Amino acid sequence: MAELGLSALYIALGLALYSVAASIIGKWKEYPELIESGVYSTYLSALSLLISSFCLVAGFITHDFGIAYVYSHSNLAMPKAYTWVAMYAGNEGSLLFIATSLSILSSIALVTSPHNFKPWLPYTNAILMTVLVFFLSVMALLANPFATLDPVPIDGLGINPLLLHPGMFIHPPVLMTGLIMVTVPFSFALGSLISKRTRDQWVDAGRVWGILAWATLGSGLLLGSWWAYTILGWGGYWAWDPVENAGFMPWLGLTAFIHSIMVQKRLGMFRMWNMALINITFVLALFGMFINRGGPVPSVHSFAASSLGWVFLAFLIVGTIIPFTLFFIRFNHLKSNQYLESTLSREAAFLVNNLFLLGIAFVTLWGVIYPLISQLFTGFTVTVGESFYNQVNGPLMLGLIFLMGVGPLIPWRRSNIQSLRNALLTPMLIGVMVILIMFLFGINKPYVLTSFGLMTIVTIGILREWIRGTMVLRRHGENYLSGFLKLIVSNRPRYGGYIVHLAIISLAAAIVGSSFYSTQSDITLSPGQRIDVNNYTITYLNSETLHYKDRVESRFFLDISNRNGPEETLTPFRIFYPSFNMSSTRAGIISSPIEDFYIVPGEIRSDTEDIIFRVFDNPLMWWMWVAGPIMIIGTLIALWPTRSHNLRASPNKEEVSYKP
Amino acid sequence: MSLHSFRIFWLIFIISIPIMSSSCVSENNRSIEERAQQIDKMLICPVCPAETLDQSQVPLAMDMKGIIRDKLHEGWSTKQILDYFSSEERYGLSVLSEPPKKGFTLTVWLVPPIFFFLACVLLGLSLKAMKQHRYVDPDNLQNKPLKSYLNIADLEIKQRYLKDPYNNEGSGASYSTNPESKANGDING
Repeated sequence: MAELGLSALYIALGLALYSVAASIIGKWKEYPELIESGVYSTYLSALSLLISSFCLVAGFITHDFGIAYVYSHSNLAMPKAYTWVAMYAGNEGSLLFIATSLSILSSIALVTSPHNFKPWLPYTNAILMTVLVFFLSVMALLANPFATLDPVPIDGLGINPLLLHPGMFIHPPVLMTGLIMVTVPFSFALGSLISKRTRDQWVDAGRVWGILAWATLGSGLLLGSWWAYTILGWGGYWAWDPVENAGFMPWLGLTAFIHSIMVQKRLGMFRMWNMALINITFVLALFGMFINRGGPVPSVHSFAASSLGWVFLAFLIVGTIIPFTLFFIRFNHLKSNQYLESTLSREAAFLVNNLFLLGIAFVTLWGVIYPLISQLFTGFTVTVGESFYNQVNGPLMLGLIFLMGVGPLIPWRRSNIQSLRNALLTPMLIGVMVILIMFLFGINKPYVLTSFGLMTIVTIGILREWIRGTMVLRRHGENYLSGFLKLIVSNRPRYGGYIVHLAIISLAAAIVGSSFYSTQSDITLSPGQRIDVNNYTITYLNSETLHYKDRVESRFFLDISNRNGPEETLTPFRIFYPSFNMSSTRAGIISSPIEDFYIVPGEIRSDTEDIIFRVFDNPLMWWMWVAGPIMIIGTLIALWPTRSHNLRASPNKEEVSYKP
Repeated sequence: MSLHSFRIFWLIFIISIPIMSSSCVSENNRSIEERAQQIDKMLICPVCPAETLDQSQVPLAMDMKGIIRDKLHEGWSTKQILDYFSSEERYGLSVLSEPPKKGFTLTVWLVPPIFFFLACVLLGLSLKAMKQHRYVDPDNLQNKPLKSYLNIADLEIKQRYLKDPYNNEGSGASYSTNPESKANGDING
């Protein structure tokens, strides 16, 4: 298996190198056949990497400890299901996963690229494959996932216990795919930049892939939060940890990009800016990978840490210099074909939105690298933790929510204050009402009141437009439901975007609610004891301890009764892994739209039967996990191809030449 | 709705918030446990990477939490406790979850707002530059009232859906012949 996997890896490297060379030479000397062969070799590299990944997965499933990577990341006793996904539990395997994912995405990008982009596709292919060559050479030269051991060990070292969670099946692959997917819109942009003759042809593909990467990365981050919430046992979901930030920054860049790219799609403006923005996003994604692979800052996500930091740093530097150099060389080709009509227009509002998003990204980047700066200038390291980000990014995020409410109410090209005022009046009134009502119910934190006021403005703005539109269609013979659906279908990018905005509001409500009104208490209980915490009565029934070969599981049976809800039995547990000297916990959670009851058992002591439980009351957390599916639905609606903007290459693509 | 009354709503919106928040609890009358939990979040566990005391579950963090509660009972202030842990003979500055707002580490707090301000100026200037060369039709913008945003939205829906506007109760006649629909910009996302 190891030999096959390694050969497939080398073959993929050869194919990717060939693809780069064939695309560039073919384009330069104008040999369409050579270009075509480069495209096919991209497809083949994807196939080859799939085989390679399959070999590594097979190595895990069959417990082939002759492979050093399998030996160090699994053992015989680990749960069977996790052997399927242990492939990305460490550095080498996750590199292979990223490479495989990139090659598949590249192939899909080439197959579905719009046919008016075909003359520049060789450049795009060459860029995609250059990035792939980087990952494959790192594996071939420095981090071989198929390195073998002799003699073959009887058992492996085991997987990091923190990774044994259902989230393992989905969070790492989604996040890594989202991060590497940034390469695709970047390659379309840069491919277009290399040529002097193109301006807006890359925009359709760039937008679609930008949105896809945005949604994938966003889902990955959200899944990571859910994972942290359920397993790490501190009641939180986001800690502004460097590795979390590393995924968050490119997501912010993409958010800015998928907004401002609409201006170019529509009006042919902001060509320079969009190009710069996707370059920045790509650099942020590279930075994310650098931080993840042995970056210089401490993080809780040390699963893929390695000594490869410098290689990724070098790639980061090259990946920054080349696109920006090209950008400045081609500066004059990126002039807009229109001037801005008014500062009070949708396009200007998008620029302000970009300012805030990049502001948050900058603050985050600044916080991640500041410990190094401090070390450099003063010799002391400092920690830049949660409270820094909350204080500095908080106001920017509020500004962003405000823009989310106002921006969609400003028409394209131009508007005036009067019409904006009229459009904003009802949402504002209701926003003030919500603030007053919340105040009457005893909520008096200014931050909370402001943010809920702004969220109301956004929500009412969206709902009002939907209701009005539905009523118009209803007057013309539709019923409410079909009227509403027709309305959504009538402008999918717009209304899909609105659905995503609602998801963001749902997320924001959860973040505000849980960060300002979460309570936490530690309670000591012996079996049979009953205690009242907040609105809940907790009865600790008993516990059981199960001994396995590699772990000791302690389950705690608790009866939880809410003042106004039915009684529920929760079984939070705690697993101790002696070989890692590490414990992982699984919280017991009762979730409702109003609040989460969250209980997690503390350390087990040998001298007493008493257990310290930590109990959290996290208001509105439910809305955070609801946001994910809503976001995906909105994205799909926004992306669903319309007949006029079909992304698929036309059936007669043979006729389209690679010449511009 | 007049300009005047709109301003009043803005005022209510902005003024109401600090007034409401004046009833916030001050530090003194909060319970010791609440203050202790806040301090837990301000200190990083020295032995585990990037976890604050309230997140960490290692024994050292538990001990530190115990010390915090003891000191609070002795009447120490939050600042004294933070200084105690971050002194050179204990764990140093890196034990604080946020850099102090004084000395060199003030830069971490000042750079973002300064940059943000500069970025705002830059954005303002580039918006101005993007506008400059535009040919302005003087009576287009100033004299004609622009259609309200919601009317444009309604219009768009009708245009997309209702192929035969004259069939319906009077509302149709307003749009298909309306020359302003383009001049007013459109909302299509």
